[in-house]
Amino acid sequence: MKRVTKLSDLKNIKAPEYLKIQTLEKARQTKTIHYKKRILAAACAFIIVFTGVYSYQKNNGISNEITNSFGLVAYAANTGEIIKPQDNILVFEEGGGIDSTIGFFTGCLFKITGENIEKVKISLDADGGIYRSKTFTEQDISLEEIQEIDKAQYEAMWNSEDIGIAGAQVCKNEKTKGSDLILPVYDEISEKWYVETLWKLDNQIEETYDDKSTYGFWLNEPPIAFEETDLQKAWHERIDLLEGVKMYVTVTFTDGQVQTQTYTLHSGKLAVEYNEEYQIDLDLFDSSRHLTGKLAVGDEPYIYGVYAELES
Amino acid sequence: MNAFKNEIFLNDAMNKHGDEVYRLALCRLQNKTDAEDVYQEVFLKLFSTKTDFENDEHLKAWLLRVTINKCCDLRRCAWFKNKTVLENEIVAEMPDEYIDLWQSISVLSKDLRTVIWLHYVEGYKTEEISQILKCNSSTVRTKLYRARKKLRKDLEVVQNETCY
Repeated sequence: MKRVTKLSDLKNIKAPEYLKIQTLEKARQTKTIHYKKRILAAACAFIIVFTGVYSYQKNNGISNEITNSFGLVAYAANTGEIIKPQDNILVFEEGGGIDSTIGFFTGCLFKITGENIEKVKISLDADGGIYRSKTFTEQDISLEEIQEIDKAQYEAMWNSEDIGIAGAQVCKNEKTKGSDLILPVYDEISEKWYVETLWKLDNQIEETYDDKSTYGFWLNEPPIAFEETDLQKAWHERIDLLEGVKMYVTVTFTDGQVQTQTYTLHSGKLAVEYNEEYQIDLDLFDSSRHLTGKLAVGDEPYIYGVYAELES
Repeated sequence: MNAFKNEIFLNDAMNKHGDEVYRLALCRLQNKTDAEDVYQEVFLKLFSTKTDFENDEHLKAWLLRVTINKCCDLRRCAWFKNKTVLENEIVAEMPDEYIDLWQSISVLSKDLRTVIWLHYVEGYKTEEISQILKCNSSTVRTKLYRARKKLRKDLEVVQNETCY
């Protein structure tokens, strides 16, 4: 017979004392970083306004010719941060990847940016395709609807069913029509709900430009089994499936002009930076780490991920 | 307006509710390292939240709800699968008298594990659990019934009352 203990005795399990100390230290650092970021954001806003005025004056003063252009930026769903390309390299943040029975949604998200864009066409040369991702707020979808999605999601999770599919099945809102995955997220800071909505598309898509749409890559792969003995290896193998994949992005502007950019996707070491005083805590979920936008060189800290190289 | 709560508030909250947050995360994630991560995330959220807590109960309910959310976020994230789960890590550090009980709870599904934990370990009523988990109290009662049944069978308890 097994030893019997009262369940309530498990209440004697305590949080390690060092956790409290670490959390207090981190809270102090968060506060410092927050204020530094605010100062930096104010400085950036000034630069944007300044360069915007300068460009406007330049265009109006020198030439009336309109030259269209577009570009890609990576989008970090977890933080809402934008990562700009550097030296024709665009690194992707992958914090929001989703393993699902309808495919592996990499979480490598990007946005198409530019003025006067009318249509976008994206082709991906891979066993998978593109997915469109949009985030809706309580202004877009009613709180009642969101709670309904959350409830369905919650039940599905308990039953070890697919994340997101249950939400997509119950949501009847026009804005999410045709979506394949819906993930409700409650932000404790703002105390607001957000709804991440994903549409699994083909490997070649063409649609009207929407500056609120982000796109990602999905792969035709079954979910990684929890029983998998070497999960890191399994994860890397999956990432490696994108190595050498070509992506063509074609944009049609409102004046009919068409431009295409070709990207080659790679897997590799993406350089990251950690808060100096928190080098020891190299956890993937640590908000103190961020991608530098460059590839790692030498002994630089890195995460294994995906990047795109623009063909010149 | 100040964007952060002060450190005294944070320290008090950790002293009062830190163990409970940690235990719940441990119960949900079955991994000491992940539980510690969730603990930190939860209290850092608390540090930056703009919520004005009406009383200590409000604070406690908020902390437990955020803990559940954080555990779900971790589970659903693809990166989670990039980590090696050492299931016996907790057991190895646990006093002998808890091992059987912990192992029996571990084999329960996440939902059963959570309700039984909140009810029997932390002492919440079914109505309170339904508030934390955002589900009907009848659902909580059903889950409690199922969990009890499974636990009884596994532990081969002669005197059920001794266990609960």
